[in-house]
Amino acid sequence: MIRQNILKFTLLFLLCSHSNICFAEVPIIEIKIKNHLFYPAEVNVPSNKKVKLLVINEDDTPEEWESYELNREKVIMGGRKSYIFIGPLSPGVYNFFGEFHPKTAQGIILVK
Amino acid sequence: MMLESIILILTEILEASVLIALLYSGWNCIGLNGRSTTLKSIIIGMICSLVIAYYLGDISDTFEGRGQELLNAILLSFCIGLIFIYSYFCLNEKTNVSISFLTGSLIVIFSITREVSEIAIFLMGYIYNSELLPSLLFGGLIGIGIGTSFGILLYYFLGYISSKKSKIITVSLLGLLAAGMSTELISYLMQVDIIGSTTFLYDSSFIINESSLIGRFSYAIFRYESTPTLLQFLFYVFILCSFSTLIIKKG
Repeated sequence: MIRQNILKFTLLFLLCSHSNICFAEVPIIEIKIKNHLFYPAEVNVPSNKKVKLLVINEDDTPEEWESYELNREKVIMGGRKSYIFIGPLSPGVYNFFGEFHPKTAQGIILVK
Repeated sequence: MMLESIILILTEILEASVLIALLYSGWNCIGLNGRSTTLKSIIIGMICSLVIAYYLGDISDTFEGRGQELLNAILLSFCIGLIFIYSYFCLNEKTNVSISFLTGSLIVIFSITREVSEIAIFLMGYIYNSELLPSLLFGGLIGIGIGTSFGILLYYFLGYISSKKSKIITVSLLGLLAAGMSTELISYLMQVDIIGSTTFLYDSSFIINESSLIGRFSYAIFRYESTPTLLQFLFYVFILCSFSTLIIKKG
């Protein structure tokens, strides 16, 4: 009986904490890739909120948007756009970079 | 750019190389020769990876921009399930040769498809850059060389120890890889909001930073995450427990 209750509680907790039923609008932030650089290279994001990053690759070549801290990676082909959801995040600085051009394509997400 | 090319291609090759070494070792432990199956699977995987690389832009745009993540998630979930079935028949007293070869072969194909397609896309970006392409290709060859050597060393190490111990170590390492794949799978689904994300459970970057060389190799081999969410952590533990139970019952 106790085991069943623990299982029910865990499932309910997981369902609530990972549910996509969200009534608040998710803010969209645009990041452009041009000449293997990110514009803007510094992105401000509110803390504890989910945010949709719209990454537009204006270069002809593909790029992989990657962030170790955020556990996110996505290939965006040349001349295409794609989105990545991040957050909710605690206040801090989170780095992101272009894995195919790591020397130039660098950026940070500032969570306040 | 040569160093970037070495690191990128090495980290992609490393996971596939370790996986192939473990599968090959598993077949050896149950008295099977997996050379022909492995070679055929690598070739099929490479063809699939080129097709995926060529159409990735269109694939990404499907399912309201979720195509790339869904494809990765499907390949990863198949890999996790197949690794478990392969491990079961590796440890079971009565092995089933055709299931063992079929599961092992599909794991290699899916793994090569995922890893090599990223290398192909990376190189596609430089195909018309005659200045950089030679150094990138040379760097890529070094990366492939180091990654493959690591797999060969692991294979010979597993072949050096006794068959029973080797079997258990092989399945344990396969379990670690499968657990790592499950955290990656969750991450892909969170990235496109199929599963809602939460704040990180802990931050172990002060022990191993994912951006460091050790961090990158740890990620490549067993998908080390310094900032997992609760769901990723639970999946990791669940897969590890499943493999531990299998080893205790059958090993």
